[in-house]
Amino acid sequence: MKKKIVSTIMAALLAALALAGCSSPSGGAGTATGNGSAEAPAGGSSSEAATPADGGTIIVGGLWQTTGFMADYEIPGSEGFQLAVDEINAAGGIDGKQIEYVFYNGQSELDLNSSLIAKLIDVDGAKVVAGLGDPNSAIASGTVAQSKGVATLATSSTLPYTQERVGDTAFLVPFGDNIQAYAAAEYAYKDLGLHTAYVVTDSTDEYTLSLSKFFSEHFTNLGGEIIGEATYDDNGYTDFSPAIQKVKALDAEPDALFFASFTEQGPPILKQFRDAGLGQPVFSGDGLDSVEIAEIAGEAANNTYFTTHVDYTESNSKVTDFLAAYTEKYGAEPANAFAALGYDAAYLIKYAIETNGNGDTSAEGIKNALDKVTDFEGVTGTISYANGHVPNKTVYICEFKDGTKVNLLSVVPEV
Amino acid sequence: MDFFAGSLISGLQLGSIYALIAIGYSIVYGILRLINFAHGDLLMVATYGAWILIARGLSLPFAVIGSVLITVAFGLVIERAAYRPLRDAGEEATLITSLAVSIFLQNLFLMVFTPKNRAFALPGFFSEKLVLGGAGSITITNMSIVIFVVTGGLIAAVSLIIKKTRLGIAMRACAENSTAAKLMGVNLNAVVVFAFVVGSALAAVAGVLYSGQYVSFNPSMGFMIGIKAFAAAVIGGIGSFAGAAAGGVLLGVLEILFACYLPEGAGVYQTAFVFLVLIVVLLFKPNGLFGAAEGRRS
Repeated sequence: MKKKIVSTIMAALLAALALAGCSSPSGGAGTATGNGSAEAPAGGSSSEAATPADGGTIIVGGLWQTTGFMADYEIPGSEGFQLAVDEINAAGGIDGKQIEYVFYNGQSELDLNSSLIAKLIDVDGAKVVAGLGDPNSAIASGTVAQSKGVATLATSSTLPYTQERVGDTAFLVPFGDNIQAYAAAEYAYKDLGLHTAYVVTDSTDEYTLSLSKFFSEHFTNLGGEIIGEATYDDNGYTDFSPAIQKVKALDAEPDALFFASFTEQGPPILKQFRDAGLGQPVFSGDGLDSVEIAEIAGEAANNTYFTTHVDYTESNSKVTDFLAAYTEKYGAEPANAFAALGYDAAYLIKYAIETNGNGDTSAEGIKNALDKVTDFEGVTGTISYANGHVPNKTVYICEFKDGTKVNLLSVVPEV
Repeated sequence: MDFFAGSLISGLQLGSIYALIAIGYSIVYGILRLINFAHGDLLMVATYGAWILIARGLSLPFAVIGSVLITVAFGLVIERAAYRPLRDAGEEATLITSLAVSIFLQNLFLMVFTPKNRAFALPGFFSEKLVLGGAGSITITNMSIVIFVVTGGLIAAVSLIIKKTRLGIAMRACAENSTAAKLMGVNLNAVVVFAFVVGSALAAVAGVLYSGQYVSFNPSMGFMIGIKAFAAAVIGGIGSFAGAAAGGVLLGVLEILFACYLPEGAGVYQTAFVFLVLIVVLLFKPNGLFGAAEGRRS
């Protein structure tokens, strides 16, 4: 997304200078590869099965954005997935077949994701791919996988209309933005009694756009009023004073603020609004699920509520077992809910194949098996794909308090 | 009115930071005809430097001085290792090299510090507000005042150095005509080193101010700011000291005012409008607002 624009600027600058420089036109105008994409994709194969078990192997692909703006979500996600793959292989694999896990770093860049997923499927022979990054990348790479008939499990993309955009091979492990934004609206309007809201949206991503859209929609349906909106584009943009000035110019200050943003903009936007004297409760989606935000923004993060996918303080054995295993492997508790989503994605593949696969581990077989998944119990809740490929799952509402994340309550969406 | 005043203060604040960075682009370009794309990344180097020194327990003023020294060291190493060997190789070669240096720096910091966003926390003093008027609705934070004072002071100091000192005069001579200056006994290497020292030091201060104002930072923070500051230097007339300062302030103010005053839905394209202004300025004044006349390119 942003890197894409940066590379375009660089290419344009180079082209302009090559022309303006009156030098031979053989200059490197068209060859600008841009920031980051010039390096070889980091990644590799972590096949546990140097000596394949008797049942053969299943090649599973991972396309994680472990650098770039999605890294805050996808590093934990990839760690959760890796943990589950190791556990599954150690316990005998899927239907006796070991998982051969191949993964790449898509660097949060759209074009790189499209080519890497083609490589995963065509060269490495992946039968199902997990990860995929933000909705923009997930739609781009998902479309490639769709054309090859390979199922994708998005773990950080929450765009509810992914299936309509991509096709029947696209599955979401988390809930959709409609569900989480509805939960946030309900909490703001009903539980906290806030009746007017101002919405600030990062306009460069499908995620932030859909989050704001669904929040505004439901908040209005409940009887609330959206008294204004501001958008910004996140290309290196960290000055939110235009939005702040607009809020201050309103006749009456809003009861609540809704920010649809990723982690990178979280601390600057919170800090600047608070510094400007706007201390209203702030609401947001799972994009703000990162303790980092509370640590960086400090007091400015107080009175901020966001929705996410799991409550790690629950005493449910799924959650406690995952936490224990993750902490043992990585030496620290997961940074956010995306670790659990990555973990669930791997077990979901195992569950689908073993429950509905009839031993068919071809790409088509796995896709059909995922289609029939009902009541898979994961760390992040229950997943069923009977009514579309975006599961209805419990939404957890959290609050930042003095540099930490506090779980408040869980909301079961009305279907 | 309050809306305008508030927007203007924010714009001036952002513009001041652009100005500090644009000056570095401009003076280096003036002497070497080198567009140093790695210049923006020095902001990032400075922020990490200050952050590490603060974490080591240094007080803020010393951490800032230390960070300026670290950044100047980076600037000099880059000049010595990447640009000096290519000085006679033509503009395209050094331009591409500077892009390579930029990518190298970002990836180096990515490797060492991970892509994680970090907090750049300044003492609470900087967030305190002063009421300027409008019955309390126009306020300014101490951070903004610090930005204005530091930027103004540095611009005045550097402008004095360039006007009055021997090195400054030598620098202007080299910008005018480096061959003639060399023939007159000016040590070109000393002048180039001096330009990089000044440019890197200003970028370091800009980096600390920027991160102090906007709280968080990561290894890729410098690139986009660098591009905008480069545009500011072009608007002002690249090679011109005063032009870079004026261009920086103008760009920052325009960026915020466009975002504030464009109708709903178009506000998000403020950067596009800013670059539209760049095109218009260049159509009427191809050398920028303060640029020297054509014919200097050798």
